[in-house]
Amino acid sequence: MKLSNQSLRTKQLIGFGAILLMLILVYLYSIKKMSDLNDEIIAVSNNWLPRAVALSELNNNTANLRISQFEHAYTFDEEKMREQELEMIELIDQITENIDTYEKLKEESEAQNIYTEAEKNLYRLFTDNWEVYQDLSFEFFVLSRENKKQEAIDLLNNEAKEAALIGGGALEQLVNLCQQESFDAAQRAEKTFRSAKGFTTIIIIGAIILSLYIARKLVNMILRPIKQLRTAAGYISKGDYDIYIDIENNDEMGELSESFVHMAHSLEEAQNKLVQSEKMASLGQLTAGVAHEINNPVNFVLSNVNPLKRDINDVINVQKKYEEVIKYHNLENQFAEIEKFKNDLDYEYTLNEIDKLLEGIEEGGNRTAEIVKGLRNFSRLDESEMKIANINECVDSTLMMLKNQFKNRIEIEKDFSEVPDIFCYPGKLNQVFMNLLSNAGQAIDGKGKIIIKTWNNDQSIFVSITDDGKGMDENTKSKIFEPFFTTKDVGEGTGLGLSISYGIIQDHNGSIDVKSELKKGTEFIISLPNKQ
Amino acid sequence: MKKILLCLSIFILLSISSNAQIAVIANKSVPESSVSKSELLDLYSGDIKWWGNGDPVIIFDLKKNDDVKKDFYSFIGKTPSRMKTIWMKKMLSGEGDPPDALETENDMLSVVAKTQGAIGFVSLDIIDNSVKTIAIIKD
Repeated sequence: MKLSNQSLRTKQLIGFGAILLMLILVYLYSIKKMSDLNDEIIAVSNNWLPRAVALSELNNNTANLRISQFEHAYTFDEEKMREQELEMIELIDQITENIDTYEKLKEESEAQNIYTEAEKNLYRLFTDNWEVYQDLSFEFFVLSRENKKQEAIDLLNNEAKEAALIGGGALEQLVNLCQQESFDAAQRAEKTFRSAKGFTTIIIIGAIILSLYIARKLVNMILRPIKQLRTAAGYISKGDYDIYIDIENNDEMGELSESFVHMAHSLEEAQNKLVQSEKMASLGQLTAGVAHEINNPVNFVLSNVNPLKRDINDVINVQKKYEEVIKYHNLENQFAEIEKFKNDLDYEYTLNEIDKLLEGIEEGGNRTAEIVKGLRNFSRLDESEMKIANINECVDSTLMMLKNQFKNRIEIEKDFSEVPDIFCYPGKLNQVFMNLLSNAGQAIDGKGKIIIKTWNNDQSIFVSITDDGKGMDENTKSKIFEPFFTTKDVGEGTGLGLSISYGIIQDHNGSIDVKSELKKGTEFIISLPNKQ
Repeated sequence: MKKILLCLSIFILLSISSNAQIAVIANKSVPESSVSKSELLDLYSGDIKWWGNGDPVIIFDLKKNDDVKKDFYSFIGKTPSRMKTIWMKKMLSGEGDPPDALETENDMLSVVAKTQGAIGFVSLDIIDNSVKTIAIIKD
């Protein structure tokens, strides 16, 4: 599971997936923190602050009630007292409203579990004292109504004062508590905000760095191979096919680089083949022309040699007849001068030389005719029809002809597979096998071994002929298919055998390859396509 | 053993009495045989001042803030403290004085029995024939 072996698509997916995951994380985290923040703000704005307001108003109103009670106690005017009583009713209404407001908020905060024990105790302290104060107020109003002003004032200054102080104190503390709590909540909110801000900033910066890194990495993964390919393409355009590309990753770019190298090698091979076949084709045309041109004069020579021999024989016979006539009539003295002339010319030797000369002319003509025939074969002037044949049988029939030549000197090892029949020119293939096998035989000094293998795949049939003879050097190997190239002594080979074989195999749309090592042997591999 | 049983029975009695039902009692002169929850609130708030027979309504309260008192006022939807606020308003507007607050439930029973037009509340288990029950408050 190495990352460099994954496809570009997977790499991209992994990279962007990581970024997406980080962003989702940030998103979820901020949502969570925002909701925390929201809770705190709601708690402050909907609960603690209104509670503090209600409590401080309650404190004011209860204090004002007490002040009004004092005023009431010091007032003797009935009408004014009536007004004060109405004011006090209003204050009591407000106090009731304050208590209602507070208790409603208290219930809410109890439901949210943010109502503290301290607040609960302080509020109970207030309610207890408020009840006491109300009881005392009843007494106060009775005293006040009965015009027992001094006793009323004393009541306010003593028992009621205590309840008012404790209740008011409790309320003040409650206000402080609520303020403190809302302050704490605000601080918590700020802290939450800060930590969320810090965390999200870090993650977002991380995501940015990661995305930059991934983008860079991806660009490099694509750009580096492309640069290498560009350089390689430059080399190829200059004709240098021996390129090397450093394949780092097994992704699409790696595959591309691999195919590119492969393509360069195929291109080189194809070009070499093209050059070779062009060479062969032009040589074929040349030799076809040359063969045609030489054929006529050679025909003159060969067709003239026999009549010439006959004619010369006739001339010699005429001359012999002369000699017989001279001898018969004893005319030697009369012809002594001719006899002397014959001796001067060394006539006997001349007669012998005429025979040798004629033989020489005939042999030269025959040899020239042989070469011309070879050239015509090479240039494929004589094509007959294709037939269905079995390659194994072709090889066997060729071996039959060579049997005598190899005799005890060369061991033949056959390794034939069941190959399918193919459409071919069997006679020409026989010629190829004959040529290769006799070359093999000649490559072996003394005793040796020739191995013949046949096999096939879906497209082709293969024949391999291996000898353990003297082999070839690179220079020789590169020239063996050229016409007139031969390693044999002058007069022993035409140098056309392998070039003819090459042409025949080309005609079959096949190929012929050679592997050779000096002093170890040579292997020719012929491949012929199954379907022509 | 007997002592333990006695303690146990007292404990059970106490625990029953603490959860006891509350009886709203009235003087026998009161013609109404039963009152509703809202009528009770109006009676105690001073909004209903006379009985059907024309007698003035005289309400009584308990001094101590015990369960009987709390349960009674919470039944009519108020706290003892809130009732006092209501009474204070009535008093200031001259509509009437707050009720007399009695020390014990037995006091309540006897005072209600001998005051014409009186209404009060006690635990159900202590009532007797001296008063009439006009409502029973269940837990």
